[in-house]
Amino acid sequence: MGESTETELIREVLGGDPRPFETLVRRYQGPVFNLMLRQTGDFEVSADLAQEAFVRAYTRLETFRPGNRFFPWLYSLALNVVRDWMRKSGRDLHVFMEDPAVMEHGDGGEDAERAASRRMDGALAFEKVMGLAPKYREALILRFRHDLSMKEIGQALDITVSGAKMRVSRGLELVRQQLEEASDAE
Amino acid sequence: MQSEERASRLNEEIERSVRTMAEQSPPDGFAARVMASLPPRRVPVRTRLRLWLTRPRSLTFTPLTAAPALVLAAGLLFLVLRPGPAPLPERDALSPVRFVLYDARRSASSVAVIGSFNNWRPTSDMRYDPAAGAWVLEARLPQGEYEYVFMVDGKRIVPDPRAQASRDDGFGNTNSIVYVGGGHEQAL
Amino acid sequence: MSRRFSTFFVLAGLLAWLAATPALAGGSFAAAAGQARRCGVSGEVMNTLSARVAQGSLDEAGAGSLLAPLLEACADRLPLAPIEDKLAEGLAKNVPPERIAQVLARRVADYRRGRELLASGRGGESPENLVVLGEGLAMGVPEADFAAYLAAFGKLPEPTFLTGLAMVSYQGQAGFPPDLTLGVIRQGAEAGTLGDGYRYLVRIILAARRRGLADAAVADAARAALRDGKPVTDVVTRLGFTGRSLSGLPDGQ
Repeated sequence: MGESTETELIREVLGGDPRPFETLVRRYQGPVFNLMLRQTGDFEVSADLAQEAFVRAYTRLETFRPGNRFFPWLYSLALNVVRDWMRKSGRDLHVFMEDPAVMEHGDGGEDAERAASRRMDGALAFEKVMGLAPKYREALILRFRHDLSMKEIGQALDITVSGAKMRVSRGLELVRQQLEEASDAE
Repeated sequence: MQSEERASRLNEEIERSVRTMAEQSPPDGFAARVMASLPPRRVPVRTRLRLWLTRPRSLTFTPLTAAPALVLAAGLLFLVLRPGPAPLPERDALSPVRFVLYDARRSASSVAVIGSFNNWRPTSDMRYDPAAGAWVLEARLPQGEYEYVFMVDGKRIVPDPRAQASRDDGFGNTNSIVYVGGGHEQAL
Repeated sequence: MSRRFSTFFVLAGLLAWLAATPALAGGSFAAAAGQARRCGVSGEVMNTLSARVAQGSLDEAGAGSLLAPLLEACADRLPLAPIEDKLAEGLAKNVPPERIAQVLARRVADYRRGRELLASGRGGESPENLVVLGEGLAMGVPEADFAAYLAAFGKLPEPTFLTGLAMVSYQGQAGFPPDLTLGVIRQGAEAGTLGDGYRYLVRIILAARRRGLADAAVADAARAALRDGKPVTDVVTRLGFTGRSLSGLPDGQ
């Protein structure tokens, strides 16, 4: 149902009426804003970057291919916006580190009881997902939180379908490894 | 085998944690802020034509409805083939304008701004901002002088008590006036 | 039966059908509407009127009386858009049609007066100038104010002429003394610095009044800014308040 309505909204915007764009903003402001928040950790900066992402989508709407879903396309623009910001603010080196394991190892020291209780409600799994490198983390969020197909994840992350599959399975594997390590430590 | 089972159990746990993860809400008024910051868009005639020609339409055929449909289609063809508006001069850059109607107890159920910028049609709905206790609309208008009023609950006409200026509307009521200067002036 | 078709095929089919079918007969209102359309009355106005007639909220005679001033303006080659706008406003506010028709007829008369003034004082007219002058007269700005402007500045080149004309109209509506307005325009014309932004000097005048500043102080500041070739924003600086007050909202909003 959402799809044809979305195509219709975009068509109206392309026809010169900006107002239907607000529906798209309201529909996707949550995911885009939270993407920015995960990347920057700053509420105000995230609001600005999310706004920039929507404005960029609006100005480039002609390049959107009808028949596809709007969200993956918007997501790829939003990722570019936050990447640009990180590059400019000198944060890209740290956040886009290639091997997530480097970031995850050596943070032990958590007591076993606390680890076990967090494990119970899935909070530990979530924490480990959030600790992944963005390219794996976002793949998992797009797949399980936003129910995107592998093709759509590919569009959103600007990679091939097989690349998307690899990101999701590798992301799961990395989190599993860490959960098992945590469990072994108990 | 056991390790495969374990992996699939962990995968489920990871999936569930991502699916149910808490997310933060964007700041209040985010969508309105985005809409207010959109640059003006120029639509070339060929884009309009392409959009129109490739658009699927639902048509219901009965002898009685065929004639109006025909007239409508001919009218649409005329509209589409008519040349688009000439490019606007530079001074027609849009400036942000904020309309506010205080209503602390939210006694109205809907408020729209009608005025010379939207041909007096109730298409510009205001949103209620509970924090401000007011109905708010952020719009972007080209330079100009505009008359407007608030339409409350689809019928009651209310002038803006905080308008820059107002004047007799000639019909026995008052119109509010907003003067929109160039972009730079407005952004002072 | 409802099906989806490509517009292109629907259009091609309908055009073929149209070619083979005699024109549809229309009623008397449709005939008047046809005349209005040929005159360039906007489709939107016509659609609104037709819809009201179809709903029964407006009878055909009422719709005809609303079209009459538009047809008159059309015959006189006066700008239609402001008259259409007033009509749309009256309909949106559910004003009785006879009252709307009266207001529209007065508006047409104001535009005629405006055209005469322009023709005598400037020896020509542009639709933009005529709309500013016609609306100013309709809003009660004395004809003498415009006549004085035309006598002194009728030969100013465009777009400076239009800027000055708008200042006379807007500032006149705000009750700003006309001699002060002319003084500001004179300074701008002499220095060649009367930019488009000065058209809405009235915003600064209104903001200054809210702060208790005299009209003469604004006129002084505007003349000084124009003498130095500064934009209208400089007037605000000279008066010592921020541009934020120009929004018409109390400070801090």
